[in-house]
Amino acid sequence: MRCKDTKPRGAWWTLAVASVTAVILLGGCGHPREVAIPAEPAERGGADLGLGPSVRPLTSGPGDKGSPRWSPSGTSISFTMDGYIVDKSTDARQLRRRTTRDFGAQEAEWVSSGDGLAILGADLSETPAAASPVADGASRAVYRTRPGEGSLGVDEISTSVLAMSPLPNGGLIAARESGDSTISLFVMDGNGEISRTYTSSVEGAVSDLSVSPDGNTAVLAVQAEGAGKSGILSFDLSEGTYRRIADLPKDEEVFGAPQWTRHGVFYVAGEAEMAESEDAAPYDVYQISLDSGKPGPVPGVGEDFVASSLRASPDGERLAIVGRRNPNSPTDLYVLDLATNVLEAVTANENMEIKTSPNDLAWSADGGHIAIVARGILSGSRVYGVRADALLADFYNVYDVPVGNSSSSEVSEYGSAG
Amino acid sequence: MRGGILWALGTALAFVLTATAFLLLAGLFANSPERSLAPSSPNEDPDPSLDLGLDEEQLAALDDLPEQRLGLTVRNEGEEQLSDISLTLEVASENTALTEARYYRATVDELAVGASRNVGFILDLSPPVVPGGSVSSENLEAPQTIVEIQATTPEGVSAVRTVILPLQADS
Repeated sequence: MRCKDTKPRGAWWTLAVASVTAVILLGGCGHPREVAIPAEPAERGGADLGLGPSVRPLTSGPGDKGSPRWSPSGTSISFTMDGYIVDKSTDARQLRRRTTRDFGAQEAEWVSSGDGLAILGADLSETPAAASPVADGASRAVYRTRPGEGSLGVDEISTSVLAMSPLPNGGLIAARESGDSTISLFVMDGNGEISRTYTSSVEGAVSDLSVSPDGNTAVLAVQAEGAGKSGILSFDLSEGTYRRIADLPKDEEVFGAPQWTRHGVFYVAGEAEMAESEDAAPYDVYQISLDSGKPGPVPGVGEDFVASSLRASPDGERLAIVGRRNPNSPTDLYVLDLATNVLEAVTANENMEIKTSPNDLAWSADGGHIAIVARGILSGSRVYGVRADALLADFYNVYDVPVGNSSSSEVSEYGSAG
Repeated sequence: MRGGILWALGTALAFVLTATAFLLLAGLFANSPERSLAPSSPNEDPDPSLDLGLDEEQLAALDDLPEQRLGLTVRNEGEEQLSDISLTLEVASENTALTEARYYRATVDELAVGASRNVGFILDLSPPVVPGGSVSSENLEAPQTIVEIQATTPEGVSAVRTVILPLQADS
């Protein structure tokens, strides 16, 4: 009996000693503490993204990436990188440069059914070798990439361009500077030909625009000039007529492009001075009901929500919103279902800085993915055991956030409102 | 006697089981599903027998100026003597629009098993300049400096270290 009592106690004691030994062997005595910094594992910049388990990187390595755009097929993604344009397959690492490095590109949109890109960037006719970024107030132009593998050439479509937005048919609509009290829009087809122009008497300058999913209506954010008020216009592209659908309080402005959905027009707005604040996301989300025509808060988005940017899904049934649930929350990507008014966080940001510019947010054509740009909040010198082009969190990189496809109705069900 | 043998066997078995459990746990975390999401890295520390060590305090003291000293400890942690270890150090900007890079080279003739050798580099870490002045990205007012160090031997033993230096450009 004594033996039976002793053996289990001895086994437990042995197990405890073995555990401690194993812990020491595995964790503590590989190398004594040295002045040298051990290289951090690649996962530090790789797998532990800090954005949630389903988020995957689409790029890696150095370079300030921005303005990601999925190709119509969803198999490639384009983006700006330190002022030039690249694209890549979503399944490969290799980048394909589409412009010269000194291009000064700010934004690119896929046009036509091929691999053409329309690029908004520095006006190269004024600045032959554009340094990025394009200075505030500097003239900008729209270019189209030339077909042909490896071509870095572009064709200038128009100068003095203020903003651009893709059209559902593969073309592009853009606003350009015009004379006093007028706005000028032009439509470019997929081949780079300007097929239609519009000119209307409106006070203010177009700061951004987007197009309804059916392609019939453009929604324009107009920034006040002088004593006027900023506001939002809907522009009937068939008739060439516009309607002012919202006036903003004085000193407020729209941030990014208003988004047209059949549940109303959604936009982010706030005080103009706040835009210069280093604290991102000082704005609120508003909805203009197509019935009442009055701006109001968005159901499902709490009063404390601090928005930065938003973009409607291709079918117009959901909104991707970058913002914070409250001023003390981290910046995350949210998806608002406009039919149910359910707001869902689709990232779980722990230690990343997500870019908050409206251009740094893009839906895939099938509505199943959203691309965002983020980097880790890191400080001090870091040492890794891999090459720089394998690192993620140390640089701004593009991430794919799967959001599932909407089960809502088809784009063709949309009506347009003028 | 028999009890003693059984006790010793039990002890050994418990140790092996515990160590295996810890190894499995470590492997489990190292191979979490998130890892597979990272882009594959063909250059990830290909050979653990060659180690490159950097000094933390020295890295922290580096500035965006010419003539910055960086010391590197090359250590043979393998089981064979290494010879003709070629060291290449590349200094580049995080801003990829700037293609200018600075290269530095050194060679370690021989390194016995378990031995280490200190190699010093004098680096120019001043911001790259292009015609028309320094170029910076919209979000990168002070682009980080990237120092990539590669060590290779004719036999194919190699190691890589990448240092990210958040140097503040004054210019």
